[in-house]
Amino acid sequence: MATLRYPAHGTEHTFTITPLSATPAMTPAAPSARARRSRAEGAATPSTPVAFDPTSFVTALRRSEKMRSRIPSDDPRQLAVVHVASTSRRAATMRPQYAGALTIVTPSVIVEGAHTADIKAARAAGARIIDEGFDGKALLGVDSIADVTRICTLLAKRHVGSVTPNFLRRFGHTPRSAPARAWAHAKIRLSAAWKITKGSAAIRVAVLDEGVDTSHPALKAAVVAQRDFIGDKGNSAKPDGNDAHGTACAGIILARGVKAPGIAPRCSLIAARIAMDDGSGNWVFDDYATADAIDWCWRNDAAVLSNSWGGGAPSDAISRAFGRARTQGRGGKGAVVCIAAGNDQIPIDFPGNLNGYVTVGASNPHDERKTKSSSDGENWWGSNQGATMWLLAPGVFIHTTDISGPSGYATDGYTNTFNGTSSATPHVAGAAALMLSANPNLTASDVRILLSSTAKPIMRQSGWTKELGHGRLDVGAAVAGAKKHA
Amino acid sequence: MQRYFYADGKRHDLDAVGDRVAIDARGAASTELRDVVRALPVASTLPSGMVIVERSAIAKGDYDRLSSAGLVQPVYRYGESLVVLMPEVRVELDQDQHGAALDAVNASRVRAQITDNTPERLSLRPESGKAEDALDLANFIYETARPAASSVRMIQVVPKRGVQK
Repeated sequence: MATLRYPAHGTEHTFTITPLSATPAMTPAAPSARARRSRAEGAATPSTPVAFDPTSFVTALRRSEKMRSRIPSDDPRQLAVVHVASTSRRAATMRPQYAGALTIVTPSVIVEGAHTADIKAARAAGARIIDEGFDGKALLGVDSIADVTRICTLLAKRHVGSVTPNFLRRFGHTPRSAPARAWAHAKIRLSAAWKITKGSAAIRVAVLDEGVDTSHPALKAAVVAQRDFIGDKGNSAKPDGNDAHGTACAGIILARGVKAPGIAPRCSLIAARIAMDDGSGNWVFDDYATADAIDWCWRNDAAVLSNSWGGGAPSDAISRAFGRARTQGRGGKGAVVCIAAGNDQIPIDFPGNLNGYVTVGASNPHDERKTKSSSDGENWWGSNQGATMWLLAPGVFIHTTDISGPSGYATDGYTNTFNGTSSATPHVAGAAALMLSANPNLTASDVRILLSSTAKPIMRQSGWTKELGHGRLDVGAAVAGAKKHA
Repeated sequence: MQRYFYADGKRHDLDAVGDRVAIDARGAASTELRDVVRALPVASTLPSGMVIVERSAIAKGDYDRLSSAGLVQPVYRYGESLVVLMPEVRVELDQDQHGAALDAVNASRVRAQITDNTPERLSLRPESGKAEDALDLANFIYETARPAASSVRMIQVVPKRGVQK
């Protein structure tokens, strides 16, 4: 066993290191999301080993020209693994290394703020310049790992800005695996709401989307009206080939059965097809058709309109149709209009940026706002933010209905990985449907205010913010509040 | 010339997309240009029988014939979306706005047919069949009569909101 010493943050750190070639052929796997949370709560870290071959690892690294400059040969003995059992002078605590992760010492040293004389001294001690970076940074190569501590010590004594070994860090990919069980219903306390109501058939929820598989076994009993506003299908809102989005949205609200039950499984569905695929993976909207669809929905007694779509140029035709739904729907009590905030972690776009509606952002299983760096592993999208943000609702790993066959998100008519503010919005639409089932006398404004006043504050918020709105949906509290409302 | 439209009481600029045009394929189906349109490589399929194609994919002679037949409409960009304007205007009216809106229609340089006329709404089609004329008419009515809304029909191609991977 050898040691590695270097200064950092004013403290000298000492680590035990062993040759990479001596690393066991099996290393612990990267943890599951569940395990990561368990660890954060103090539980033991599970370790399911996975294969690790040091020679293959080095060979793979050296496919990069940049890596070859730091790692001179394919021999894994030239590299060393840091053992995280730290004996630094600051704290000699035993910290478990992230499972599956390796911190590897290379025969190279990073130096910053070195004068010419310092570099000359390092050269005299056997170092060479591999690379010069920005802001006075240089990467020095040495002959072996044993020389790393020597060069670090030499340059530290010469009081350069900083000098540290150049570590390579190997991390396991964060697996995008869905939680084993549906999490969203428990998080928003749906069981408390269901003690009051599972919905009323008189409450109609409109899903305006790219079509809904209205013959899906879990949805067909809910359908009371459907129409195609963008295509030529007349009184059918069925989607084209691989358009699975609307079916997933509808299922979150209204699915019957036990496999992926909706939030309001006794309410009714109005399906309005307003978008079509353009053949290149984009949505096509006709603003007049969309406005007509909105008007058709509220005139057909939709109590709630769920809109998991947006972007593009604003349209008064659409805005005014939403306005009519909100003020003239339900015989003047108003239809509740829920609109997705969008998934680009940018300012909310049209129509979510319209004032006076229920604009919905996304949260994750850890009650965080969904961002590209939140702890759910979906690092390619984040919830939009802005002045119209009303509340958040679950938006990752959502269990719901899917179109059947190979064109869907999955292949068995159900998916457990639906996501986006597209999935958060129907959660709120379903909650609004339950609230109106519990108390049909509520106005659209009453529902909107109750959704905000019963939302659970998250991420230590002390009031409304443009990222979190009023907090995360609590359907249990919202339906209880609706029931009590005079 | 900068094209624009009104929404929410504000003026919004449209950027011309010169390398693409929208073709009325349904309209062409009953003309001698049917085969010309069928042979075009389609970039996007739109409702109402419209398609977006690369401008460079259309031979000059064919383009001129399609234009003369009123089968070509321009394509614009608004943010990330492509916008195709259609030769149709919808004017939405609040109380006491109907007369002023009709006066504006009559005063416009764009001659238009009134296809729907109720106390709450006017629908108009420019006689030229050109979407740019519809846009000019919609803007003129809004700037002159200030109705609740005056907008040209837009078809928008928007990136999908889904984020499945």
